[in-house]
Amino acid sequence: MSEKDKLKKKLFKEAGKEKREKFDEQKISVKKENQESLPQPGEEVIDGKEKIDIAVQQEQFQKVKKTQKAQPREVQQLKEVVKPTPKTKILTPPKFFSIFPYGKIINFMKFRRWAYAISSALALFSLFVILSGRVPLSPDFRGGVSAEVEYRGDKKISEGELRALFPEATIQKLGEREFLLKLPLDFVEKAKQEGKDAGSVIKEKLDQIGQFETKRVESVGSLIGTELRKKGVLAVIFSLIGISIYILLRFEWRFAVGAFISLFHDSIITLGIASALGVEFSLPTLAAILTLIGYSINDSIIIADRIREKLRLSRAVWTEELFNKAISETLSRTIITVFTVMLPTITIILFGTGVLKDIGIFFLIGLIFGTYSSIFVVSAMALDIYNLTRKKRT
Amino acid sequence: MGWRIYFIILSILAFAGIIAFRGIKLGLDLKGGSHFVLNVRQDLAVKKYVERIAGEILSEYKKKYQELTTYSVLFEDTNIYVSAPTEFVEEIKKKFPSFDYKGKELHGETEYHIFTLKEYEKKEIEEFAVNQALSVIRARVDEFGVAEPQISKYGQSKIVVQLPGIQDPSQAKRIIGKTALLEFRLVDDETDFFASTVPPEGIYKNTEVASTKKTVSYLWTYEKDLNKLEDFVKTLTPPFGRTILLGKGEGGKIWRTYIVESISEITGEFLRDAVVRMNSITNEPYILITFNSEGASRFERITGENVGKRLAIILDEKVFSAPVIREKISGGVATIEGRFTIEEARELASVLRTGALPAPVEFEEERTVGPSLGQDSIRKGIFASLTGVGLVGAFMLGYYRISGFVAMIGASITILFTLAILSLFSATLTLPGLAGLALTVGMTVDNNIIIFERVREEILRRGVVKPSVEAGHKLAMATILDANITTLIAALFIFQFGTGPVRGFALTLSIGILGALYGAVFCSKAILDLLISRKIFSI
Repeated sequence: MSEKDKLKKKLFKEAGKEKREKFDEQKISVKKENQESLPQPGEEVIDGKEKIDIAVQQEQFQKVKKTQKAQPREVQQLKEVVKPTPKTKILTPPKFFSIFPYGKIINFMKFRRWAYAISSALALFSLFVILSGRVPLSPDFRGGVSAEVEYRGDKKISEGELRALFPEATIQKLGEREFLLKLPLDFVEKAKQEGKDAGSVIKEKLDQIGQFETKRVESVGSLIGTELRKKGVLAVIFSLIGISIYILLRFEWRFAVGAFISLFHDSIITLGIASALGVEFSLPTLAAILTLIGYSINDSIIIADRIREKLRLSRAVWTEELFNKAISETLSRTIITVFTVMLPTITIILFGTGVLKDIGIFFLIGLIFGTYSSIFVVSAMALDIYNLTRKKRT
Repeated sequence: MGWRIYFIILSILAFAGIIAFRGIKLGLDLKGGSHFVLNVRQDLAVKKYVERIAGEILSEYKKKYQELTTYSVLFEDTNIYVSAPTEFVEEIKKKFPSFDYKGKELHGETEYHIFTLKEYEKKEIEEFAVNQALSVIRARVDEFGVAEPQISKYGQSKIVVQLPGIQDPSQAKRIIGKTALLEFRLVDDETDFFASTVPPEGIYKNTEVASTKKTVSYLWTYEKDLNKLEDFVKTLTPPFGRTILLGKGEGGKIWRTYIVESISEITGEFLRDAVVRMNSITNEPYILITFNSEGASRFERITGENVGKRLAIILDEKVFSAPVIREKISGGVATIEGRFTIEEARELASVLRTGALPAPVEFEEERTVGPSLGQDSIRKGIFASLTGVGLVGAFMLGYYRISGFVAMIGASITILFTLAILSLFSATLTLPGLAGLALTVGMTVDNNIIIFERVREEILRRGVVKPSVEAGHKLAMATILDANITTLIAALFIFQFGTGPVRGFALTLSIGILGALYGAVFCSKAILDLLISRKIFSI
């Protein structure tokens, strides 16, 4: 370590001591701190930004200072958190590449009536799909068999031959010699009555026409099917309630109501659209929906957090402007967080097989609607509920 | 360097060590293997118990009054109906305390005393049935020889059996699922029950000269019409104290009826051993069974008392053979012959050795993944996950540059942490779990993104790096905790209701969320601080 570095280390240590001492925030003015941190000509800078004209940076800082002056309470709050630091010579990069420009505000709340209309329409569509029994249930929930078999003999085998063996089955050709058999619950129950099991019955039948390898068998009887269905519905309802209670404890009750409605909305629409696309609803995809319930609330939390912070810092009230500002300020992180989860989701859909793919599709649909609803359902609902309840009081 | 960096390096070494030494257990969907859920027919166990008690009451009655009035003892569900003098009823009350006396009831002209199985006795029988089935199945799986099987009770009446890496699930199912109730019952050759029966189409009637020199009739059919014969026999009411059973007839090509006593003289519980032997003349395998001392003495008494009669050897209500008793057999050894293949004989011997299941079991759920599919899924799953993680990494590097790189180090530590904890608890990594791991990376960097965006805002506001980084972390902390706790709540609910692979998913996700707090928040911050102190920073 060079002399210079040692000195620096010492300096930082002293700064730490200073930190521990009680700091009287009133005595340090905003102006002073800013002056302290202004870069001086000739100082070390990093990140290849040396060439940037100091004058330009100073101009930027004046701008920043202006915004800070406009919100003195916020600055105070920040100063509580950030203890004084020694003069740092590290210079900030003056500009960030950002998905959504800083400082820009979009009037999201203006569109909320439209959003309500779209959400209601989608939710109604999904409810129709679900209640009319159009959800393609996997054997997990309805009972029955799903089996993947591969022909190992030398002859050619056609779907027709399999169909003749299993008249009650739906048969899908997966590959040259691979078939997917789906059999109803009755098949399992009949096998049980004969003191056998569905897997063995299938194998016995297949042995009649040639050599087959069973690559995968999933057979579920009525007992388990009913049990899983009941447990699955309960799991969804309980996690909705659990998360809403948590939001209620941490945030305003209006957010909790908004969150509950939006999570319900997200899960129903995800199931509805996935069903319309023909993706099977199974235990793993139910798990995907539940994960989504836990995950899609994150964006709502980011926004709610920001609104709460704004309400605390300034004596602001619940207004559309406040909400728009909070959503716009957090918009790029909402987009990026969703994007980074979406990347693996998409690769799972593209390269994964079977269950993995199904999980991916459910998750992708849910991500899209979860993000949408954190802006247009949770926040919008919270605002409207606030307006409603306030009107009643006065 | 601060203590945090040393701590992080130590923790990475510890995680890697745990994974290297303990390994990661792969779930059945990745390794291949079978997962069964068996339902133990507790109702049948209860029924069997009631039937047995009814039989005991009947034989008491026989002993006391030397005569058998037809239908003096009946049973239905958990009730036994006894038509007998009061003194006998009083005796039963004392002798069978597991039954409650429920008063008298008139059926037709006869007055029946009703005895009902006590509720807690019923519960006890049900519980015993499951526990007994559990230990029998354990013994059978041990005989079968599978590495690391998992056998456990699930719910009230179910048993979960997991057999990783087995090649032939149908053999496993045959062995696990066989009730294997071995019984010896005397054949009734006195009454010609089928004399006046007119068999329907496909079922034939024949006569044989029984050992009693009497000519008796029996019904028979070909293998393909076995169902018809079974259905037809169900419609018949056998004489009192007798049961009609089916068994393979001469030549092994046909199925025929046997009329046997309802109560078995000896059952498999008196067995000591069962081994496969080869008949040197016919070159066919047979099973040599050895009774324990009580079984041997019972066998000796019965064969002694019934010389000349036929003794049916019955397995799971199917007659295997009904040889004529030529003389009193002492020594406690008997043979079961039945045209087995050597494979069948071995399976049978092994289930006889481990004893009978207390009640039949049904395969309620089966999930089998062949080994080839397992390999395929693991390859594709890993490829999909790695590509996803790689893309996230590329994005983070491009967008946040050095900080993005730090975030990816944090994410890698999170993955290491998750795998190490999975390995520590011997939890299994399943296919959905693999998806969970890829999603964990996405969610882990979310924490960093929330922090970095906040840091950027602070930097724009104050223009200095270090305080901005500090403030960004502190201000983002609440958001991060809230976001992670809600996901954790959902993961716990998935764990609560799910089975098998889904549980693996929930577990991986939960550990991943906790790991992210260490990897993405603590570790990333420490590394960032180190870099900032070395003046290496960009965001």
